[in-house]
Amino acid sequence: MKKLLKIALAMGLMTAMISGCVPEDNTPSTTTQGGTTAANDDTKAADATTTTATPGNFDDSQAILVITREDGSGTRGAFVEIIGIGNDEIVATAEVRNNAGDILGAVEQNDVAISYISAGSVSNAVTALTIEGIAPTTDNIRSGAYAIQRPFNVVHNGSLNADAQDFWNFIFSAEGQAVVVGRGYIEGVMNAPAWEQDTSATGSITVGGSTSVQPLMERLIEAYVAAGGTVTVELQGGGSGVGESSTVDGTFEIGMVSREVRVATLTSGELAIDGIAVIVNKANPLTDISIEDLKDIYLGDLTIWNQVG
Amino acid sequence: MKRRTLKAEDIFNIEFIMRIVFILSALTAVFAVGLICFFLFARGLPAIFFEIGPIKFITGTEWYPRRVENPLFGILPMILGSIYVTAGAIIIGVPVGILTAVFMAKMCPLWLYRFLKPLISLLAGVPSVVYGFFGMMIIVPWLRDALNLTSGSTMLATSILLGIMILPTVITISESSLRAVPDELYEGAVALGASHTRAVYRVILPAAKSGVLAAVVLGIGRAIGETMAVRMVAGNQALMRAPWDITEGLRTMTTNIILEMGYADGLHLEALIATGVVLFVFIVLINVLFSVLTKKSEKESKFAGKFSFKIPADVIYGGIIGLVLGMAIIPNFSIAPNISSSADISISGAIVRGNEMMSPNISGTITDGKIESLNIDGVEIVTTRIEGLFINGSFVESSIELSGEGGRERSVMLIDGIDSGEIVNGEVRIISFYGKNIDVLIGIILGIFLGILLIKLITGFDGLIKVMTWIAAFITITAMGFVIGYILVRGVPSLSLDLFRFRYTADNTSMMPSVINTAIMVLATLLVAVPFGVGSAIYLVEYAKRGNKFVKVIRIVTETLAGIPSIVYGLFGMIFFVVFLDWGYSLIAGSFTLSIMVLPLIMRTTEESLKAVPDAYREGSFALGAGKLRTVFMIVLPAAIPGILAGIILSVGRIVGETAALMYTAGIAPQILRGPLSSARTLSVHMFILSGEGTHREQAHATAVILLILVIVINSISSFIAGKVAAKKSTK
Repeated sequence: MKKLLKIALAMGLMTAMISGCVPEDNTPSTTTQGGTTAANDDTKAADATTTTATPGNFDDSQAILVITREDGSGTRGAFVEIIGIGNDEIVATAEVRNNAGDILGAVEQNDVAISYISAGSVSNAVTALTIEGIAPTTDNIRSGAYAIQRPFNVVHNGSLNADAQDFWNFIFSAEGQAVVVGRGYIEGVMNAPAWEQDTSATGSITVGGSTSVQPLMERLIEAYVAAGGTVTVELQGGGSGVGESSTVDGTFEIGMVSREVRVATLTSGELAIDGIAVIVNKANPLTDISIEDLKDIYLGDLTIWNQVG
Repeated sequence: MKRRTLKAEDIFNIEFIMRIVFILSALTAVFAVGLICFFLFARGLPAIFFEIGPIKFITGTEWYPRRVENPLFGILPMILGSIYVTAGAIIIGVPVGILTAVFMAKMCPLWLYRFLKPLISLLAGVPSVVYGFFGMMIIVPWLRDALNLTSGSTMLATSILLGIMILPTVITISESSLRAVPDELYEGAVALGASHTRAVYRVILPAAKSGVLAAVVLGIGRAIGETMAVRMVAGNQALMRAPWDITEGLRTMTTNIILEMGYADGLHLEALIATGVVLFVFIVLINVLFSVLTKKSEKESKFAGKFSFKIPADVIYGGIIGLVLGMAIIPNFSIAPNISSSADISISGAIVRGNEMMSPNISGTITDGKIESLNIDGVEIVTTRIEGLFINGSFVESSIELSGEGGRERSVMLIDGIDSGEIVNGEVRIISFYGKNIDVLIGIILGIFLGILLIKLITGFDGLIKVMTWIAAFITITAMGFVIGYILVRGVPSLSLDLFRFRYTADNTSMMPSVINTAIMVLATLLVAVPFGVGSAIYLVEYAKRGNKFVKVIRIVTETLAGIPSIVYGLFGMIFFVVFLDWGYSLIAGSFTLSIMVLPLIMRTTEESLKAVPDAYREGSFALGAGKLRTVFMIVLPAAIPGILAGIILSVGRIVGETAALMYTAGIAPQILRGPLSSARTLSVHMFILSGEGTHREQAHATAVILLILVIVINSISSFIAGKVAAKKSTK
């Protein structure tokens, strides 16, 4: 009997804990919007649980969660340059994530988050904002109307061997650039010539570097093989920095760099142009943001959602 | 006659040669540690000593590695970060783990044990990337809701996740050391009138102290070295945090390396390697500390009875309840006080636009927490709306809508007397008080008292501890259920035939090539690690004299190797195999790195199983005229094979789950590898890459399911072998 009592007590405690952790109040409170009372505190908790709900529940008196890529990332470098702040000026309390997947996950899970990723990686689980009225569509990026964009470069150390040259030619051929456009990026070369295969090239090469270029390069290699390419191309990651340094030291025949090339001794070609999309949670009603606000958010001057716009 | 002497000589020769071979393989561990030290230090120390300065590096609080002018390389925030989350993991994981171990060893019904034991070994084999996913998708959002935070990626989230991750280690080792305590002790206690609970907690647990301590130390090693999972839940801000900033994000040493590795070059890269050096030194220090501690506790063992767990028990168990209750309480009650008196606080500050000061002087009064009036440059203004947030310290970032000008202005205001809070429409509210999140703290403290009081009042000491044990077991089961359930729920629906094609394409993201690569990686690693590991174990057990200094050195070195985090192995592998030996990202670079990693594991298990072979076997063999070598290979090794196999299986589990050490050694090429110098992506790395791209999360989850199945297969093989060992022992 005593044992039974104890077990019951333990179970009771656990249920209390579990029920305590799952906020029962899922219905949106009417005092949420611009709430003036102390009740605001409690509704915030309720709101947070309805992360994936309709924008109507969004409490814009919440603080902004700034998420950024890590120091050294090509995406980050291009982003800060375009919005006009220094690489080190990003507010120190910003969360740091080092790939698009983690950023998407974090923004999906948190209704007050804002971040930026390659436009090609945006999923429909988040909202890509328009920048001063202009959406990150391929047309807008091509015309330059959408300002936040950067080049995808491929580099080599000045002398390509026959194998690497064959793949390089493919990248900058009409066939290769068609893959670029097919994946939603902007072609780096307009009116590229048709590919002329060098059938004597049958060796193997390694291409590596920027993780942002990686998914596109993967498709390019597949298209190359499908088009009858005879060189075996191995793809490696690492990042833009590795793309440059490993090409210099010969580990990679061709390096991928998702920003302007910094190493002057490398020969580079612009493979594609990629827009950087600014993303927020689905629950956030915001659809447009100005460069000025974006800058202030990343500087840490704008800290609350209702200050935006 | 002639033939006979020749034969004897031959044997002598082989004996001699093999003896040298065994000594050499015993030296590989020493050699490996030497190599790791040399190459890590050679790449990391110059940066510390000549470019950055050791004091600036260790005690620097700012990390701006890529600044063109005056870059800053201070890793103190990361060192503290590692310490905080490890401490957090210990606070959360160790009490639950030890209690669960007690539960499993002494209180668990058999049917539950049959289910719990495989579950825990399953959890031990789950790759850390999978835990990272679980943390990011389940723990982080939950904490955010429960504690009403801006982001759930915090010290607390990391501690909870690491606490769960060290559970299997703590439980398994504590349980086996509890079971090793002779039954006589328990019987004696019961004979003296102690209840079952009292006998277990006051006699058996203290007797198993050294094993439990070892479990805790291994747990610490796992927590401090964890990389892939922490990266996804910690927030990764390189900021100084205080121990009580549990609701703030932070960055650990391991994540510092993995985050920036891909883009680092020059001094930045060297600083990251230097971070690895500091981490390495940390692990060595912990190992030394542990060996000192065990020596001490061995000396004190005759007084073991005096050092019972009585005092920490109440506090620790109360702590668990407190944490649990605290979290349950916080979202429902806001205990934060509003400002009632205007005497405590005052306003001053300036309006800024960008970095420019527009109006240098703001002053104002606050009555009953409401901003009554505001003066800008001495002129009183009418405000329509003031919103803002206090950030650490006493200044406020806020925006003021001025009714006259109609525009929005940002201001920096000083509000004295409060540390952190927010202004909503002119009303000032405290969120936290001098950096401590009072909601959380009060919740926890209240919870501790409530929990202890409640249970102790109702049931007394025995009952308290019994209930605690059950709760710990329940927490363990719940945590495991959540992790495994999460993988299954998200992964199984995503399984499709496309994922098992032999050719990987960007469309099908097939995992089949990675499965094959994993198998090859396992074989290649074992091919190197097993001969050396078994050879050195043979030397240690069969050839070396007991108490030999050389043996001691090898033991210490092996312990050190065993404690090195996989990210440090990854760094070393990249520096040595990939760059120095110029193997590039390749199968052999990966397998050699992993070989060093699993070497201590194979050495330890082989040593144990060789020791378990009774000396009578050897004596019998010698008596029949067999030489040393023949005895070892024909008599001792066959008897020890099940134990050695168990060690190999454990290594296989480790290899299959490894990510951090392979990323920068074996590379990420997704196809079936073409030769020893071609890059190979294993299944864990495949999952990590898929999750990183963001567009293939479903496939990443499906991969996790397959990984889980692999772990189950490996575990059942190892438990089958272990069962055989046990059967053999009992027939002896």
